[in-house]
Amino acid sequence: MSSKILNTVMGMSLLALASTNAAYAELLWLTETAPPKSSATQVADHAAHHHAMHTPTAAVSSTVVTDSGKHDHTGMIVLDETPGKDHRPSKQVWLRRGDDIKKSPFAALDGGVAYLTLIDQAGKKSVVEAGQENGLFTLKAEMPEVGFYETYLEQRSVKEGRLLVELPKIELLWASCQPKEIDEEAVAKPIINDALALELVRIHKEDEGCMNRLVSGDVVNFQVLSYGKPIAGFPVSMVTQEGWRNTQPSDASGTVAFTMIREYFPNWLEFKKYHTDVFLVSAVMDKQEAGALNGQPYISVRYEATLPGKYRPSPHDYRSYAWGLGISFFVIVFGGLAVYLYRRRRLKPYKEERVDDKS
Amino acid sequence: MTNLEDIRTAVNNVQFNRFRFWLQIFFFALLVYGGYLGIELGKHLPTFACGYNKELRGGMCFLMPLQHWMEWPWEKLFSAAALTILYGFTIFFLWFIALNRGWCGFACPVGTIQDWITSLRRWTGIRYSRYSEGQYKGLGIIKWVLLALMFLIPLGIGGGWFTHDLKSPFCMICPGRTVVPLFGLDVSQWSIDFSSRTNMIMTSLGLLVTGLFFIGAFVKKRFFCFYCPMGALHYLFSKAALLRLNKEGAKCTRCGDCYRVCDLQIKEIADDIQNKNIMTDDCIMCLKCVAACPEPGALKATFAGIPIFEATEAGFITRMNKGRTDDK
Repeated sequence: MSSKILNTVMGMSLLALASTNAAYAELLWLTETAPPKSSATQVADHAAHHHAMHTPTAAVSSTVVTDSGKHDHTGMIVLDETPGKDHRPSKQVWLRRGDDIKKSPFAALDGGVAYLTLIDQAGKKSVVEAGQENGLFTLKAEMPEVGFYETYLEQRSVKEGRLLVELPKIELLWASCQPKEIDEEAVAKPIINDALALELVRIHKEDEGCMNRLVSGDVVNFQVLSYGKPIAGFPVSMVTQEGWRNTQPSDASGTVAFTMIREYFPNWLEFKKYHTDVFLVSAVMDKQEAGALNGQPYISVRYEATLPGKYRPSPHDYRSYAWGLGISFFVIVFGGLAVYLYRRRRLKPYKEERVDDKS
Repeated sequence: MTNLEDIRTAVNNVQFNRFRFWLQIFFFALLVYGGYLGIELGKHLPTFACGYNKELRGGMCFLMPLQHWMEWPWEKLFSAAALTILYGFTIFFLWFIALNRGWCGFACPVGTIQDWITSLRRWTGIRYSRYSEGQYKGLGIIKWVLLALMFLIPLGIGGGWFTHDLKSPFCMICPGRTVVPLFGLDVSQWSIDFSSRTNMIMTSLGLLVTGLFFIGAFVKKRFFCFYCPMGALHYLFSKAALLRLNKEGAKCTRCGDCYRVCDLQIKEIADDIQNKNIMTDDCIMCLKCVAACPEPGALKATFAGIPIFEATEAGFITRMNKGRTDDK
């Protein structure tokens, strides 16, 4: 009997997992990576092709070109994430669907109810308008001051009697190499949208500033919030660009910590210290709430919150203090010795010369 | 009038080395630790207030933004955006004309560190070195070569000829990058960057120069100033500056005291009795020559034409009686 119950529970868990995985596979997220121009002409065809498929979004397949133009082993051209530069006062954002960061297609709004909100470092909210480029969702966010800006999209639609509330969010940064232009306290303070049913917030370090970048090996903390309040014991997932996945429950303060793994292993001559990998953090919450959206009734609600981030190779991968100190020590010791020997060689031995004034 | 004369006499009789020591301490604290006090003098300073000293510094060396600007793509560099450079240069120029190369002699943190290393050598009793005349002439070109490369390499980056890893080429080999942040306990610049061949070479070169800086400054007074491209850049505009070093050749007896105390071994300071403006490209305007001159009015520092410190017999005797140890 107990075995039957266990099997049933396991079966339900697997079902839930499969359902969650399916949900993750369809996650909607915002990105700074632009769709490649080469695919622009393919967008309409793909949009038409995908229109009849499983998702109502006007999604397009991410048949895009890498920096190196290399194809992967499946023959499909894979996208290398190349997020926007942080030293620009405006950024363009796109929408993608799916948790395969390299291959997930760029998307458009699905025609449901959607809101876009931008919150600046001072907590000032502004409603922004989305645009379209080649049939794809895009948003140009203006960032008048140096610092972080949070951009939120809230998209609601009813599918099979369930209200799906998709809450993709992206943290945008206008950085400056002038530390004195930066209000460190404001940068360290998290920006929270307390009107959201589910939100993921990256916790900034106190001394983070604007020029600090996440690197592999860093421990990154996220807080999961509902209407601005932390949720304890809530599963939060991370998937990285190369497909590494991890799920952690939040602690009593709603915080989860992930260590950024190293995924970049190029040959030395191809190594780029500014290489940027992308990760995606997500949380899904189901609630039994009934209601209607635009006349379409639903009996449950699913909230899907996503937050992408980016990180670089760790300086430990390419910087060596031992070599640095070794070179300077070598120069000081051998240079000092060389100067000593040079000066010694030029030292003339004492030689007395007598001049006889009378002669 | 009497009061003014009294002030002049007091200034001319000042224990100059002590005065200079404390003025250097003041500028060092201002430029290296000014950030602690919320001081920000901008990023166009004509001295090595190193940008790698991040939050601590009270201002930034102009060479850093200058090289960044030169790295702009040419379409941008030769467009209206170049007004930013013009603005930056104007601020640099305004700072510069106030002190001329006195920025080197009194304010430069790297120069001050070299003076401290010289004091250490003097304390050990080791004699200092001087270049031979041939070495002096040959090595004097290096600062001009560095100045030219400091413009040409970033321009080459903007033109797509060189890799971006060569950005800020002079900063990469400047000892200020490695030494000044040490005063904020930042050792991050003492590492080799193996992320590319160019980075590896440039960071290695930087630490090689740092090693040479310590040895050189120990045996040779103001060792690095002789090769400093900032000094060369200063010299290009020194004729427009308000602070000047003047010589009245008719009053000079060519005793050679000024030459002997000169950290940069400038022979013209003693030999040239023709030119009134005695500044050379190597002069750091430390004014030690004025303090060491026994001939009244032979050497003087003027600000906007007004003498502010000049050689006097009384001043010379006062300072000699105090006992100078510069030539140990």
